[in-house]
Amino acid sequence: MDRLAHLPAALRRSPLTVVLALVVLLLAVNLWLSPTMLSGHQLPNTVNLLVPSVLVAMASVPAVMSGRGGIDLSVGPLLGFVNVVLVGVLVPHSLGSVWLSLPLMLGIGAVTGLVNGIAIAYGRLQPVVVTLGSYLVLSGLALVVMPQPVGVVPHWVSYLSGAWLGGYLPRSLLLVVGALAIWRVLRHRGAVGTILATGSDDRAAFASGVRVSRVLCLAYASGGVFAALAGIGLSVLIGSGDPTVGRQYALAAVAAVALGGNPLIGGRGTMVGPMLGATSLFLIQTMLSSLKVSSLWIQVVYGAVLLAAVCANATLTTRLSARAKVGMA
Amino acid sequence: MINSEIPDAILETADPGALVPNTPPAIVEVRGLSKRFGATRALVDGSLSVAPGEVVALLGENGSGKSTLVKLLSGVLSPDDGQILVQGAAVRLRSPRAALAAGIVTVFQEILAARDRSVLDNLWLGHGSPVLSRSAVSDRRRLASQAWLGLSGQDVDLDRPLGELTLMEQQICVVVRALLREPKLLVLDESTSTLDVELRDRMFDQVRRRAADGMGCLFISHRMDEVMAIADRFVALRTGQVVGVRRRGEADARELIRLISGRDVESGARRVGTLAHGSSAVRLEGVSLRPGTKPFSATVSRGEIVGLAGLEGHGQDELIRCLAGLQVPHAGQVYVAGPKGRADEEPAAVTTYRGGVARGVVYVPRDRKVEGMADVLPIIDNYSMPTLQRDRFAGVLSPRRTKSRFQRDARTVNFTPGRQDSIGRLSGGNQQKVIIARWLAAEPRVILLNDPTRGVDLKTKHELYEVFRGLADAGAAVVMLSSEVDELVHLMDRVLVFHDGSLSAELAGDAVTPESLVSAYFGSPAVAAGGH
Amino acid sequence: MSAITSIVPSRLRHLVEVSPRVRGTLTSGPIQILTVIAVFLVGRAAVPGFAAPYSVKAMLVIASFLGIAALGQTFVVLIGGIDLSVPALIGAGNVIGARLSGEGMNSVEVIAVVLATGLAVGAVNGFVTSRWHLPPLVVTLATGSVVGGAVLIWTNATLTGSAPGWLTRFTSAASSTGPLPVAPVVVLWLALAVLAQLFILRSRPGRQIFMLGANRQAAALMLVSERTISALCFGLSGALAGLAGFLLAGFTGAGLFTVGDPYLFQSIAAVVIGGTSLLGGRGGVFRSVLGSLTLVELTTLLVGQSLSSAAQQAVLGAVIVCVTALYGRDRNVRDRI
Repeated sequence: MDRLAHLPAALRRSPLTVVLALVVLLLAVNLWLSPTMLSGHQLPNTVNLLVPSVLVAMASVPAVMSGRGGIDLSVGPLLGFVNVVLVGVLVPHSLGSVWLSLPLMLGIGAVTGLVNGIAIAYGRLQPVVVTLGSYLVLSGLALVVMPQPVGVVPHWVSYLSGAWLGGYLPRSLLLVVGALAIWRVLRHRGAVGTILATGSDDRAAFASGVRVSRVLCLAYASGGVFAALAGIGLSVLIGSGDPTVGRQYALAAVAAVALGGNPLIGGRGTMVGPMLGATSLFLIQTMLSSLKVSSLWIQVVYGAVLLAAVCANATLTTRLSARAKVGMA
Repeated sequence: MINSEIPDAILETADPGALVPNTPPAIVEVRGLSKRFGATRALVDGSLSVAPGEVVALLGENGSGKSTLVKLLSGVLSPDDGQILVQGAAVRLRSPRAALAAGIVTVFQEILAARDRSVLDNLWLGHGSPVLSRSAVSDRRRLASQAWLGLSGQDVDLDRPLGELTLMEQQICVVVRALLREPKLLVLDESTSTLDVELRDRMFDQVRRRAADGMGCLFISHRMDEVMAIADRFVALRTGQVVGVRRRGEADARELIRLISGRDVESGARRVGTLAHGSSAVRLEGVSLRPGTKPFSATVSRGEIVGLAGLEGHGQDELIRCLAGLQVPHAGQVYVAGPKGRADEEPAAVTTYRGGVARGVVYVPRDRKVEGMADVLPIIDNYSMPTLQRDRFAGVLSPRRTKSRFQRDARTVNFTPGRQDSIGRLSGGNQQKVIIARWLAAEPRVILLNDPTRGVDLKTKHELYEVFRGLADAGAAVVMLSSEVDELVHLMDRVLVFHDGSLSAELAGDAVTPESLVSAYFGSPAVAAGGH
Repeated sequence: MSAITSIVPSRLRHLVEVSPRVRGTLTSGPIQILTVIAVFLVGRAAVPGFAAPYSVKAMLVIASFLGIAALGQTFVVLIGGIDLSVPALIGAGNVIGARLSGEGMNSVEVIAVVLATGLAVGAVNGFVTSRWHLPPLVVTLATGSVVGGAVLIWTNATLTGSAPGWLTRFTSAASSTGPLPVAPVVVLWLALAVLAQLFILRSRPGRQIFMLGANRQAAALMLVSERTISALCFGLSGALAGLAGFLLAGFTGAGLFTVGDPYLFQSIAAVVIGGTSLLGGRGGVFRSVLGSLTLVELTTLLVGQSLSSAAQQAVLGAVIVCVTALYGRDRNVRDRI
């Protein structure tokens, strides 16, 4: 009720404006180029492609929110590692049933995130270094477990690649729904607010009785869980195990977070923004491929759009905050 | 999981013999508390107690052990030795969380707040149960706005990010946050330094009202008038030791100062500049600070110290920023005399900060930590940065030149370089001296000081006054914003008082008295307006 | 566990901080030097031939490519930034160098083109980050992507051009520099490091780099121009990355755009292992020289243990974290109140 009353003001200063406009624009262009993109026939494939990127962007969010240079570079390799463990370890040992493998994978994600969090919070190491270390460890381990792409996913994972309602409700969306549900619970329990407060000023949080180290661990662990969900999404997408593909997601996730309007210094930000950011990066790719642009160009366009979007975002927010200051005086 | 209410405090059995009969148990008692950092003994065998309803002032210069005691009481640090007792039971305060659970709530000297978060979030930061029902949330809103109104007399938009509020409102926020915790002992460490007179008095009212309900308060301030106004008892610390305890009425300010510093400090006597006021150095013409405020004109001459005063947010801060070229006035111009200071030179308008510095206008900012210095860097870097080009020899910097320059300028500001390397380890007063010394090398003709004695102890304060007077005597025009009445009365040749974004009064010489200042703060027409 | 980690490193850090003057002049703590020596001794004990002259020379050559890129990265990290466009610029330097040389262009001109390209891209990074106050991570990621893509298009993603003959000798581990028994590229690296050290200690912009990294707002009030210094640091990083790419052509023989890829994390790791804080304002150039040496020693050590490249990577990741834990720790939140 209170939130509704504040909606107009919130929208005006919302960092989501740019990314939302970008998604709408790109979607329009995409539909114009390939009108069947959202048809029941093609939608599941499109969504399956999109889901891992969205989830891995979500996985980067809590770490960035938690401030003091918080970032989790390891979410990319983590998703690959989860995929490899599922296909290369769990399935051969007939642990592939949903009740066994799902908790195990989420557990891998949570523990990896927790280890990062402990090294950062209690070891007081810089997040870039720690997650860079786990980036290398995880991508190395993935290759050790599974040197080449191989294997098949368990039945429940391939079931997720289908869709309900004649293709209009892809089942892989369940993974995103699951992640959002976890985030909602965290928000409702006040954990998201505490993570943001810690990111804004950890000394203030500490002096006010917040257990800052635990908050950091929670932030990284929840990111790990989202990355594990992304790993399942990747398994849904490729239907097998691939030790190298996860790494490609690492930097795209950071780009999605920035595009979504979350400041990388932490303390502020939304979950929806980075999800939209990931969506717009994905839509750029589909647009270029339906334009039959050489795949070599994709990288250039990618970078240019990212640069333009963050610049636009920055100009917009500085103008807004300038206005807020004038209003204050 | 994060907010669960398990206190970290571990209760120990209290020493039964410690309770002296016939005295009410202290809310908080500290016995033989000691803390050392390396070779430095920051606090030695510190003991004090605060009874219910009592306001105890903790007095001492910087480095006397006050902040160490505060950090021990708030759980930021753990003592090497000694005990803290809350209502007779010994507690171990392993973390701020434990201290808060034990009822000791501290408002730290620095405003510790999550500036990206809303006012409401900040007020309840780290407090209470994790899962909130809708009604609990609206209860929190109601309590928060009531408490805010009670302290400041104004309403606040609870959903605004705190960072968009003024420094004073942020200070209000951290005090309200403490009050919302229903403290048994409220520790106020220099929490009045950003408040104006009106708000400070409102805060004192609140503290007294809470004290009447049995709260204890440990009050720390460098301002004697505040201490005398609120405290029931005074505890003086010097070099980590308690050197004296006085009840209200047992000692006057002079005696307390002697107790703190260990000697008599000359205060109260006005010292007027020796230089007959020279040519005009700064001229303000038709300056209007905000849309719709009354334009005013003023001049500042070489050799004088002019104070800028007023309640927080009434325009004095904007003016000093305009003088520095950090901000452009809404209308009108700021002119500065030519570089040689001769009459035949054309005065030039100051529009940019760099342009100002080139004309000899230097600025000492208000928030040392944020704007004044880089606390991880060596003192010498913090000193030499803006004038490094002077140390070039064949294109290469000569550290020896920098050093000799620094020694000279350090002497001028009465700073003795010690063994410390980084500026972050110096006391606030010494940091301020380094920052002032920084600009001496730029041959300043106009020195702008934005509340330079905030958080500086009394002894150093007087040293700084001497420095400022010396600079003025050497021919500089000194413009100093100050929020402290005593300081304005003691130091200034003239005071420009601001009200509602415009110059409301200009007091000079003997007309600068506490009474005339305070009535001018409130825009009282009894004082002749000095604006033209 | 946390009890142990919180006791030991604070003591070690104390060791480093006792001697500010040593740190000021050498700008590297004794710990970093000890690390280089310790890893070397471990390598000598564990891997046969690790300490043999040829092996040491080869390590130095490999370290010099990394070290030159890391020098540039150091400037950026000192102002509190991070440069992710380094691998793209190494790739660009490599491809431009090989291709232009292959077309018969004079080597001096080639080097000038390579340096100018790096400098220009870097300056753009610096300008954009400071003009709009954007996170360098994102900006350099974007420009890196653009540059990398452009090189890809230019070369059509194939091996291209050829390195000039002198460059092969210049970067060969077997060659020597006059009386010195190391390859010229190593001497070049160390000479650049000395120059860079002189620059940060004895020039005005050099000192301003530290101030900007330590406190942006205060730096502005001390007449430090954020845009100039940012453009300078990112520009140097770009130019040095381009140079490293060009030199790598001597090693690879032809131009390949992916040659820079491993340097993304390695250049950052070298800076961090050297002990320069990613938060800005603290660290130095010689530290990164030591960091590069440590990193290359570690890699060689792991190769010598005949681990698969995947396992090497995993171990290296863990080792980087552990080495940084020795001296790269932030201050406790308690100490910052």
